[in-house]
Amino acid sequence: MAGTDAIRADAVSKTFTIGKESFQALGEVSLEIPERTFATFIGPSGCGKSTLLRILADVIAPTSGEVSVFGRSAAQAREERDFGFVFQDPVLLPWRSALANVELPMQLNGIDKAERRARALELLDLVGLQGFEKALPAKLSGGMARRVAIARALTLGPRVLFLDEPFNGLDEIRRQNMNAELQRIWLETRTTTVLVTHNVSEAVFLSDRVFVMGRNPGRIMAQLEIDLPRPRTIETMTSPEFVEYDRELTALLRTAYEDAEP
Amino acid sequence: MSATTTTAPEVRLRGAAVPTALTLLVVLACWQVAVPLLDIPVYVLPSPTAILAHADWSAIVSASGSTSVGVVLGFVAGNLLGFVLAGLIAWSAAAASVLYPIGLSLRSVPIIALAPFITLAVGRGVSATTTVAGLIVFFPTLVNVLAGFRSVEREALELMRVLNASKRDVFVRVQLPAALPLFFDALKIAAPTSVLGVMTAEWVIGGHGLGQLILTESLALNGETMWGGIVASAVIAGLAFTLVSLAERLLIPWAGDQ
Ligand SMILES: Nc1ncnc2c1ncn2[C@@H]1O[C@H](COP(=O)(O)OP(=O)(O)O)[C@@H](O)[C@H]1O
Ligand SMILES: [Mg+2]
Repeated sequence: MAGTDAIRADAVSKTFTIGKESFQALGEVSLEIPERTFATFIGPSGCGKSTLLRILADVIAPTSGEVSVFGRSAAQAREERDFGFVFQDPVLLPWRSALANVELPMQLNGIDKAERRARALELLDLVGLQGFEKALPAKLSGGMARRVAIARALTLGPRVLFLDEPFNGLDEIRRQNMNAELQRIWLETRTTTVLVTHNVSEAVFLSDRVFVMGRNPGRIMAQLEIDLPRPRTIETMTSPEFVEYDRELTALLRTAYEDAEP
Repeated sequence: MSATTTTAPEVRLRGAAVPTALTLLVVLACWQVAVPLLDIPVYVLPSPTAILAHADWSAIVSASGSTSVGVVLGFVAGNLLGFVLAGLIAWSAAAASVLYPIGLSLRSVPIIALAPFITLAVGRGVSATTTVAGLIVFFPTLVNVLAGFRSVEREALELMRVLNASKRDVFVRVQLPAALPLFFDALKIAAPTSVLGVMTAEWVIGGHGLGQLILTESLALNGETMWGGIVASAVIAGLAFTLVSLAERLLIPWAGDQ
């Protein structure tokens, strides 16, 4: 997976100020994510994973430090609509059908109706939701809503896809199915992807590179390359290599948790 | 399973209509029996059949027409004003800093205290009753719709930022639709309130509406026509509420399933 870096963060920090209280959510974080890599942030809750993801996508500004995306600032990249973002909550607009929700980014981009409809149908197909085009979000299960959110994030062919705990709250089997599906989509598109999770086997299953984060302040404590052949399958998950990665990552994560406890 | 399994509005209404009608019948029957039993004088409370037989229905219908015009105009004007002002306040902080205090101070004046001024400014009759009703419904609508505009979750706004959406797009595509459920809540409050506003104004200012009719007929100890007027006003308020509920189900079907 050599090549240019898609994302570089240079000594990025974030301090939230509420009234007179200020709270350092992120210490100085530096990282590189090469193009076409599937990268994952894992760590205890409250360690700043979502904050870091928001900063990389220029949803919020860092207090200090810099982010560059394919050689430009994150702000420029966002303005050129380089990003797809799936939030922890699917945030579908409840008055729009699944199809119309997927069409939203294209509509904002002035793509004409026929074209965006065709593309949205294609993407709903890709995430396995054919037949649910007309469904309102209230009629979709949690897993289906997340898949709509993923389809929506893919519409403009983003150069970077951000996924903030997209499968949180799904039971283990559904999560595994969604992981397999996400890997399939990723293999088709090879979009540089940054995932947030606190599930170890999900991280190993999906990632090329895992960043283990710790707390107080949020920072990157370790980095692990996962060198397993793709496509990875349910069988892969029982292979000795996978089990070893799982064990190693669990140990790293355990350190991050211990470090975080007072 | 495709999504089009929502119950049609008419079906749901019809489902609710049966128990409602039954309740109404029971109440009317008790009323009918209680009046002679308790020996209530006719100028205080006549029985339903007496009202039906002896009320001056042509006067009631004509007064209802006059009141309805005020109700509809006041309802539309007050809600429109509330909605537009809420939109301006949500759109621009500068507009908010000017408009919100004005709205608040208008709120703290009991509208009916303005009746003499309103009569001087717009004259008597429908223009006055419309103004009173409009002013009364305006503020709750403003507050509700404003809450609607502000009910958008942070992540929806962040999503729009990732998509590099313009302020106008955020407003039109996210905030405006998000405000509609609370707008309809406001309309449902406004429907009976605007009947109340018009009738209070008629009572105080005069005119040809039900408020005036009920007052004069009660002074004339004409219980049947007075009660006919009261029933007519209840029917107008109920009808207004039903129409708003129906419009809500037709226009924002997605909101009921939340
Ligand atoms: N907008 C905000 N204002 C204040 N504090 C925040 C804000 N967003 C996040 N935080 C705080 O920053 C810390 C990291 O949050 P977050 O990035 O959401 O963690 P994670 O995603 O790893 O659970 C938390 O303590 C959280 O309370
Ligand atoms: Mg988070």
